[in-house]
Formats: sequence, structure tokens, C-alpha cells
Amino acid sequence: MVNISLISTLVKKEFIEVIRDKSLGASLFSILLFMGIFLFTTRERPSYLMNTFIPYISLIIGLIVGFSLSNSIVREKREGVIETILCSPMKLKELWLGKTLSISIMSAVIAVLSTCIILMLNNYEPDLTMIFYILFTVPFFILACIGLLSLIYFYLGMRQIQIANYILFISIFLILFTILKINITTEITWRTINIITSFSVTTFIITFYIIDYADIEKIILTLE
Amino acid sequence: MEQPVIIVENLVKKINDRFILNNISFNVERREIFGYLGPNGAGKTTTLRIILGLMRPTSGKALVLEGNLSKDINLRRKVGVILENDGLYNKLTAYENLDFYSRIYGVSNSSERDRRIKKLLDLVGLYDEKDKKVGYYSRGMRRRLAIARALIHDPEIVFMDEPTSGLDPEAKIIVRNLIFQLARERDVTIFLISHDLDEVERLCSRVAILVGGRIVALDTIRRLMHSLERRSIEITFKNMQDAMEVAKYLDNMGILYNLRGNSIRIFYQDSNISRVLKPLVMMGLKIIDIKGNVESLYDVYLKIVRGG
Ligand SMILES: Nc1ncnc2c1ncn2[C@@H]1O[C@H](COP(=O)(O)OP(=O)(O)OP(=O)(O)O)[C@@H](O)[C@H]1O
Ligand SMILES: [Mg+2]
Repeated sequence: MVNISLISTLVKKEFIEVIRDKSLGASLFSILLFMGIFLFTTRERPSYLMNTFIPYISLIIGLIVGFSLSNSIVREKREGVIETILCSPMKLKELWLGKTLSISIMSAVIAVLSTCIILMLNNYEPDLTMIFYILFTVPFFILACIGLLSLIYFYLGMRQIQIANYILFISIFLILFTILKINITTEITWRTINIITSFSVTTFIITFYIIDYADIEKIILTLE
Repeated sequence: MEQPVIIVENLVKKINDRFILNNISFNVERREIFGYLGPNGAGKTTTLRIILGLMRPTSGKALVLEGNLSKDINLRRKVGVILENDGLYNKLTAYENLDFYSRIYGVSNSSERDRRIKKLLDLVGLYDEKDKKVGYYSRGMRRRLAIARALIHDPEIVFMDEPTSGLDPEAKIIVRNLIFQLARERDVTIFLISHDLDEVERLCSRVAILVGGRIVALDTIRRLMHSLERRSIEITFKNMQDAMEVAKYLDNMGILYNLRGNSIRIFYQDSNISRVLKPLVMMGLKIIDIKGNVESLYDVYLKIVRGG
């Protein structure tokens, strides 16, 4: 159904591009800043607060990185690279999968690493559910979100993408803000892990099949 | 006889109830360099996109090697494309760009890839710049690299949308020769969209001229030239006053001309050229050069496009 070697070629190329891109440095810096503020404000909090925040923090870091990396899709669309790629033996599905995988892997690695750093700096010892959540649920959730975001970016016109970006950004921060404000003390349990993971996997699978019905004409013509 | 390599039949494309393409039909044979001409917005790129399977036709069909590029993935390996955009990654070097494309086109042997990349880079004159990021390339260098990119997998057919736009004169000649060699020596079929009529005249055997989504001419260049009823000669005088005097004379005679500096281009019908020339010689003007039959594809094109 998909050609694995094509996808791995694409993923490798994406990695090279991101490593050379200055915007990755910028987004890493903003994460460091974010973590700095977080650590500063939570230094003397009890550990049940860590339990509350860590799940959200790791997701949000992953999404912010993924969000900024997905911009390459919009850029390649505008520059017409995607049009040329779609004339090659690479199918739209493979292009989408390669993009989604590379962006998700990078975002997940950064999210997991920075979460570990926060945990270490706070001398917090995570239990098994937390470890499982960070190493397994978080990457899957990021994968599902990036897959969906890539699909949206392929489809929408430039102006619609701008609007979608604002909506996404504002809602992420509203969610974060609400959590910080009302301090929902939901600890990570196997139940939440199950729910989030199966939600992510389902979303990803649905997106994976939806892309088969994508209209290439829409993708190359939505440039305004 | 072999089937045509490209078959376009009764192609119609409507966007928002407007006809972008209106009943387009043409064939391209193997080894042919086919020119696809027309003013801006005529629908050339749209035709190409439909052939490549990037856009769906409203009705009609476009076949390449008897298949459909939108459905047949393996068929795409036989086709090279240079679209209006170069299709290059700015953060990769020229070498890396070609390496990436050769991989996705299935050139799996790494020494073979290396050989082809270096050969093509050399061919388009970018070998010395191969490790520079494409983002730092000039427009013409990018265009050259796009040409190399389109040829990396040894395609049987190459579609080119204004391949030489932005190239310097020397590079244009290099690319022209390259296109010519591809067709002659490697049996490659070339579909060439171009605004450079000089280039088309030198390269193409047949052309289609598209105006407002309709094909208004489809023939060999020689026959199209022949269809021009008028002929012209170009006379260059030693000084401009002479040329202006002749212009006055032609005005009186009601003969069409085109004055440019000290040379004048006189249009004449059939065989009345001596009627025009004799008086000019008698006037004792200093003629330094006469060129006969200076019609070019340009004249044919203008006549067809303006004449509708
Ligand atoms: N997505 C679209 N929506 C509406 N009209 C379009 C769209 N794409 C192309 N057109 C119209 O189709 C016509 C043909 O465009 P096309 O790009 O094929 O022209 P072209 O012959 O390639 O011109 P040029 O020489 O400038 O490249 C134009 O009038 C253009 O406005
Ligand atoms: Mg065009």
C-alpha cells in the first residue's frame, strides 16, 4: 500500500532539512524559555501538582514543536515543490506519511526529553503509569495531531491556513490557561492512558485512510 | 505504426463555469519535440497539469504511453517534468536535491546515482557549485538544476514548462543543445511549453498554438510559415535619413513596412517585390545589407494569435 523505502528517503531528507533550519533553534529556544518559566513557578510546589502538570506540559511542548515544523508543508506547497513531487512515483499518501512521521518523531523526541529534564530538575520520581504515559501515549498523541494537521495543511488555502493556525494556537493556550487556572488534579491512571492512546490511534488510522480520497487538484490549486 | 506517445482527446476543463480549456486534441509521436505555444493565460500549464494527472479534466482524456499518469505509478518513472516552479529544496545542496529525486524515482544503485548526478551537474554547468545550498542559487542556476533534476532517471518523455525562462544566453544554448540531443540521440520525446519563439523554431518539428483555451493552429512549423501569404525583406541603409526617405516613399505607395533605426522591413505580396525594389535602387540610396525572407515563427505566431 505504501512504499517503505520511499518514505524512509523522505524522512531522512526532512531530518537533514530541519537540522539545517534556523527555525528549529528558535522553537527549541522558546521551549527552553517555557520550561524555565514553568520550573521557576513550580519550584516549591508539592508533587501532586507535578502529577497534574507533567501530562499537559509534555503534550504542549510536542505540539508547539510539531506545529512549527509543519510549516514546511505550507512552504513547499507555495513554492510548488509538492506539485513536482506529486509527478514522481511518490503517492500523496506516502508524502503525507513521510512528513507526518518525520515531524512527529522530532516533536516527540523533544517533548519526551524536555519532560525528563523537568522531572529530573524537580527531583520527581515518576511511577510506572507516568513513564508509560510519557514514552508511549505522548508520542502517539503527537503523531495523531500532526497527521491531522498535515492533512489540513495539504487541503486548505493559504489564508484559511492562517486562520486555522490562529484557532489552533488560541485553543491550545486557552486549554493550558484553563488547566493552570482551575488546577484540575487529574492524575494519570491506566484509564486515561487507555483513552488518550486509543483516541490517538483511531484518529491516525482514520486520517491514514481519508488521504486516499484526497483530491490532488485541490492541493495544487489552493495557493491563495 | 507505433501509437503516439502522448494522446490528448477532446479535453475540456471548466473552473467555476468558465472554460479554461475548450476541446483540445493533439498527438505527440515518439522522438518528437512538440512545441506548445500561446499567450499568457491561454491554458498551457493547465493542459500540462491535466496530462500529468495533477488536475482532472471536466471531459475528454489525456494518455501518456497509453496510460494515465494519475493512476499508474510505474508510468511516472518514464516521465520527467519541469514545471513552472523548479521543485527544489532550498536547504539541500544541488547534489542532495538530485540524490533525493533519483532515489524517489527508483535509481537504487548508489554508484549509478553518483555517476548520473555528477554527469548531469556537469552537463548543466553546476558541477563546481554542487555543494552549495540551492537557497543561495540564482534563478538561472535553479532553472538549470531543475533541468538536471528532470533528467535524473533517464525519462522517455520530458514535459517542460518554460525550461529556459531566466537563463542567460549561453545557458539557453546549452539547454537547447541538450534538448536537441535528447530527442536525436536518446529517442526522448519532448513536450515543450515556451514563449521563446526563436527557441521553438530551432527545436520543434510541430507546434500547437493555444489561444483562450482553444487550439488555433496545429502543424509543422514549415507548413505554418508557408501559410503566411506575405513575405518580407529587410534592407539596411548606411544612414537613417535614407531609411526615412524610403519610409515616406512606401507610405505613398501604400506598402506596409516596419522602420527600425537605419533598417527597414518591407512586407510585400506574392511577386511584386521588383515593383518596390526598383525605385529604391534608382533613388541612389546607400544600401549596406539586404536580407530576404526574414519571416520567422514570430510572424506566424503574431498573425495567428492576433487574427484569432
Ligand atoms: N485555480 C484556478 N481558478 C480559476 N482560474 C484558473 C485557475 N487556474 C488557472 N486558471 C485560469 O486558467 C487560465 C489558464 O491558465 P494557465 O496557467 O494554464 O495559462 P498559461 O497558458 O500557462 O499561461 P502562462 O503563459 O502565463 O504560463 C488563466 O486564465 C487562469 O486565470
Ligand atoms: Mg503557464
